[in-house]
Amino acid sequence: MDKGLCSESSFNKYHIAGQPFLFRRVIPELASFPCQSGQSTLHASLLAVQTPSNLPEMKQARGWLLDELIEVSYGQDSSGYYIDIPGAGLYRVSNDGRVILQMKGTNPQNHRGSSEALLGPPLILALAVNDTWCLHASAVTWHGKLIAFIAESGAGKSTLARYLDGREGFQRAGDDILPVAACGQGVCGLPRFPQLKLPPDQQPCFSVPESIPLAAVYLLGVEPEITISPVTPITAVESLIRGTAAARLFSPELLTKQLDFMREAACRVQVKKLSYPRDFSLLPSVAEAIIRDLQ
Amino acid sequence: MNQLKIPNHVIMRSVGEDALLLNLDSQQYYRLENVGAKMLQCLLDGLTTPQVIDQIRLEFDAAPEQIASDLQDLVHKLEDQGLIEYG
Repeated sequence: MDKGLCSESSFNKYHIAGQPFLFRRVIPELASFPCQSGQSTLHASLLAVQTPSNLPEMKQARGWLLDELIEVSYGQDSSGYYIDIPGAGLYRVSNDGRVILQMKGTNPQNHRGSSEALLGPPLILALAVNDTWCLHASAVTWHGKLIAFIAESGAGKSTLARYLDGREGFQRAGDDILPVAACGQGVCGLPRFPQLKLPPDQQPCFSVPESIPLAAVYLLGVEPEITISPVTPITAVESLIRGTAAARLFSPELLTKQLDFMREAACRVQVKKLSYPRDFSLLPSVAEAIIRDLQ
Repeated sequence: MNQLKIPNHVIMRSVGEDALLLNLDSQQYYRLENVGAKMLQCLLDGLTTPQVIDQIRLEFDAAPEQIASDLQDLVHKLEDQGLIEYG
């Protein structure tokens, strides 16, 4: 049994983004996401069941899974959301986000790919149904605050968070996906989410709190000079919406909730544009600029 | 003419002085900045074209003819995108 893994009946229990999840089988990528004692709520499970004979009308969407641009099919009916990920399986997320079913068998030898798919769109969708939105962002903590960096894939957000880690009071909290949710009057980051580009023993989130107030979001851009500038409220909202992972899979109801959440979040969290040349030697100056801005 | 309204498959949210429209069917977002957001809100509130022009002139320094032209363009674009309807 994996370190920290709890057994509840025949399920394996993990703790992700502040919520307990039960899975039928061991998920190697979650080896370092132990459940916490005293929590026994079934939130989601992964069960092998037969493919239903009638699937809802499926649409196509392209998105990133790790470093691969994949095309998934998705649809919704009264039983839930369906997501068909080529080579990985067909998943159904219940309408309340509490159960994730693997509907179509995958190659048993390909558990890793299957797990990566499960921990991608289906898990992100299940969290969204429960009002936790996954930003496509890296993240660091700084003196008790959480800072997120949003950018397109390959634009340097992971590099920046990795560089800041351990410097000037910064600590890396996320690499690629940052769940966020409303908390009190503000927005909190829930960084305990599997960062699939990193091996299980290098997950950055374990030395940071499970829930941290989100103080700032930087939208990364490329400019000849290092600059940090405010953005208009509407640009902030649009950027947070565009930076939400798996949003193409959202139902109209979920899209409405996402828009309302991000509109509120943009009022409560500083959203700014951070631009700098793509030059690794300038990252110390970028760090100084961020600190000046946060102070 | 019937009252202009937002169709069921579209939602509108104000953000500061601007507005975002979301077509839930296509998942497309549309940004309406400042004057455009104000014009649309006036129309949704049931103001006539002359009343909208008067309202805009209270806040923005522009000739009535220019406002009328911009308003017509805006309505056409919103209609083309299925973001407004009459009913």
